[in-house]
Amino acid sequence: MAEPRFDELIHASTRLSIMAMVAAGTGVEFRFIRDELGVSDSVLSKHLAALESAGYLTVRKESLGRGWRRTLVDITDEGDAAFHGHVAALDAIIGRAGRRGDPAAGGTGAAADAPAGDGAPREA
Amino acid sequence: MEKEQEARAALDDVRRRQESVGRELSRHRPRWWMDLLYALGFYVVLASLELGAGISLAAAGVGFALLFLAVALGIRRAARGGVSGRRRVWTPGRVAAAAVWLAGILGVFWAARTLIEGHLPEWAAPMPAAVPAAVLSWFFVRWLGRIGFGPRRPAGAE
Repeated sequence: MAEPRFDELIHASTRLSIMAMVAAGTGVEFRFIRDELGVSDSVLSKHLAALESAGYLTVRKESLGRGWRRTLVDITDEGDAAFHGHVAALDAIIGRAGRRGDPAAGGTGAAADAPAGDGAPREA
Repeated sequence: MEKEQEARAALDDVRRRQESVGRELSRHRPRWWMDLLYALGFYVVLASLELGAGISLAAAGVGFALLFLAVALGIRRAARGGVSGRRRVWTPGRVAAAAVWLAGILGVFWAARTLIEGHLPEWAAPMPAAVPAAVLSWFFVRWLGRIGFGPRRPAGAE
C-alpha cells in the first residue's frame, strides 16, 4: 500500500481519470482517453502537457506506416507513486485505508483485477 | 462529510476508468483460434522429432512458422486496441513461472514418450506423446494471455 499523499495536481477530476487510465495499462492511446473522457483534443492535450511537465507521464508518437500515426501515453514511476499515494490519501479520507476486498480501496491498477492463482505475484 | 463524499466519488471514478482500460485490453486480446494455432505449432514441432533429418527439419519449420504466425497475429490484434498492454507484465516471479511452464511442457512430452516408446516404432512415438504437451502449451498460452491482457471479460460487461 502506498503512503497517503494528497496531490493537488492530479486531484482535478479529468487529471485523476487520466492518471487512473494510464496507471492501468501501457501505451494508452490518446484517442482512447479522449473518447472515454468525452473531452476535446485541445483540453486533453493541455492536461497531458501539465502532467508531462510534472514528470508524471510521457507522451510519444508512434508511426503505423502509410502516414498514420498515433499518440501513446505512459505513466512514469514518479507518476505511478503520485497516483497511488493520492488514491491512498482518498482512501484515508473515507476511512477505509488498508481494507481488503473493496475494489476502490487499493484495488487500483489493472493487476488488481487478476484472479488469484495465476501463478504470479501481485504488484503493489 | 462533503470532503468524504468527494473522495468517494473520486475513487469510484478511478475504479470505473481502470475497468474501462481492462475492458479495452480484453477486447483486443488474442482470439481463441490464435491460441489453438500456437498449440498446433507446438505439436508439429514436437511430433516431428523422429521423422528423419530432412522431414523433421521441414516439419519443424512448419511448426515454428505456425508458432510465429500465432504470436504475430496476437500482437497485430493487440496493437489495434486503445491500450497496448498491462503494466509490469514480466515480474521476476512471472519469468520464473514461465520457465516452470516450459520445463513442465517438455517434461510431460518426455514422460509420455518414455511411456509410449515400447509400444510404437521410434519415429512414431513422438506423435501421440506430443498431444498432452500441446494441450499443456495451450494452457500456457492462455496463461500468457491472462498476464498480458488481464482476465477475460464477457462482451459488454460493466
